[in-house]
Amino acid sequence: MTSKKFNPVAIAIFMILAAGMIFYALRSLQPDSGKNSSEEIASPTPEQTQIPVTTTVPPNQDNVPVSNETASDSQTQKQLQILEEILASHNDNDPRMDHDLMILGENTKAKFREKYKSLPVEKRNDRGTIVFLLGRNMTSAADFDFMKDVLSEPPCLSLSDCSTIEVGGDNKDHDEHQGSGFAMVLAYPQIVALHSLQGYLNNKSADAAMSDRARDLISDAKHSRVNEVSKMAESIESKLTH
Amino acid sequence: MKGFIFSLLILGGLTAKADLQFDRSISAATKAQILQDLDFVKSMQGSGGSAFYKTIFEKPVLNGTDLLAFFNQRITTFNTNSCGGGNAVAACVIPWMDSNTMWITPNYVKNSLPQIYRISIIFHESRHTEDEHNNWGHVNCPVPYLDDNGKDIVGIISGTKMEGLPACDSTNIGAYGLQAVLLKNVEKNCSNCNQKTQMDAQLFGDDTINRISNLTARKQLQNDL
Repeated sequence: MTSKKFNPVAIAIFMILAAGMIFYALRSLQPDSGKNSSEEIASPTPEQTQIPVTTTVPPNQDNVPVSNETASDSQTQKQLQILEEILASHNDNDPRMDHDLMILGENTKAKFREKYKSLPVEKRNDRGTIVFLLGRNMTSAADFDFMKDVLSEPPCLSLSDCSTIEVGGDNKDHDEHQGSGFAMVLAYPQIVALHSLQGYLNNKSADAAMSDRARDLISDAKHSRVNEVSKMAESIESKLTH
Repeated sequence: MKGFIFSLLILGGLTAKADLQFDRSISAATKAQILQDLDFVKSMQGSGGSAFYKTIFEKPVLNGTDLLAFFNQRITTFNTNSCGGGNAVAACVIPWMDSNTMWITPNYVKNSLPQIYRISIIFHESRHTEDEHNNWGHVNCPVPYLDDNGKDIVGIISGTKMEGLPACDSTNIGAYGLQAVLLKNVEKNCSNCNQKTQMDAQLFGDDTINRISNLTARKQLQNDL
């Protein structure tokens, strides 16, 4: 009878492989932390953004009541926090918009309106995003007042500074080459407001009095100093009357 | 073992992006935004595709992986350039310097743009890399240059009329055509896009169609979806 001999090199390789597999298996059970490469930061896919929010400190704590917290307040805080996260991520396709932020209560809407007013006017996409979210939840006079305020804003003349007329760069032709969509971006909150009002009117269960208000706002927008806004208002109105 | 295999899958998933080169002049924030935008493109799933989508992208159904492959076939490098220095310019292609490089301006992250519109800009620019089609150069907008309601189409630079400027396409499968077809297919066919993305795709897609100055070609595009 002979005793079986093991090759020390083979044992070492086996142990290294086994350790590697255990390491990866354990890592897959750990929450992600400490990732800092640009690729990892830059990849919030829609699936990733569905991870439930666990942060307990709201980003804009000053705006949020901390006493007498009710279920409604809690929901408002949660939705406000999700909004903050979405705006910070620059991920417009965040699925939470159609889930967690689909239905907004009166308190939340009031907070979202505050948030809108606190943003620099040059944040065209951020402001338009808030108008979009509020535009799906128009149920009160305050909601239509807000849309009126948005549509009444002074024209944004340049993406770098809304108060300064855009003079362009050295190559005006190339500026205009991409300028079509940028004109839309300059008017984006107003364009979204009109889109929301149109959506409200297309809803068969819309309130009659508020529908009249929506039509009036669209009609007023035909006289906007912003070309993109007046054109869109005319287009919507012509579709409504046919 | 499951974790080990998952890690290999992640490495495999990064391969498409690993093909892209970023010049050192590209800021970390800009690189992160570009990668995030391309990741979003890659994630798109479609329920169909229009006739023009098939013509331009040579695939029958909107699909993010195919779109990213289309982009990667044309763009291999991102670099930095002012592209003329205007505040409204986010990216450009300069074929005589390098047909496969996309030049990115600071406005790409500085300007607050809807994401799907920003993505449509770099796809538009990618069309200009096609040397075999003379880079799908633009033509002068007609005089007068009117929208469907008979009104002058006005540019953003000091409200100048667009008529006579080289910012139109007579074809509907050039850079503006591609941009419009991409946006309209996202609006109509993207099954995992949220409502905001689809609204933006509609708004900016309809707007882009106006850059097709040949009215027959424009009409064909409007009827595509």
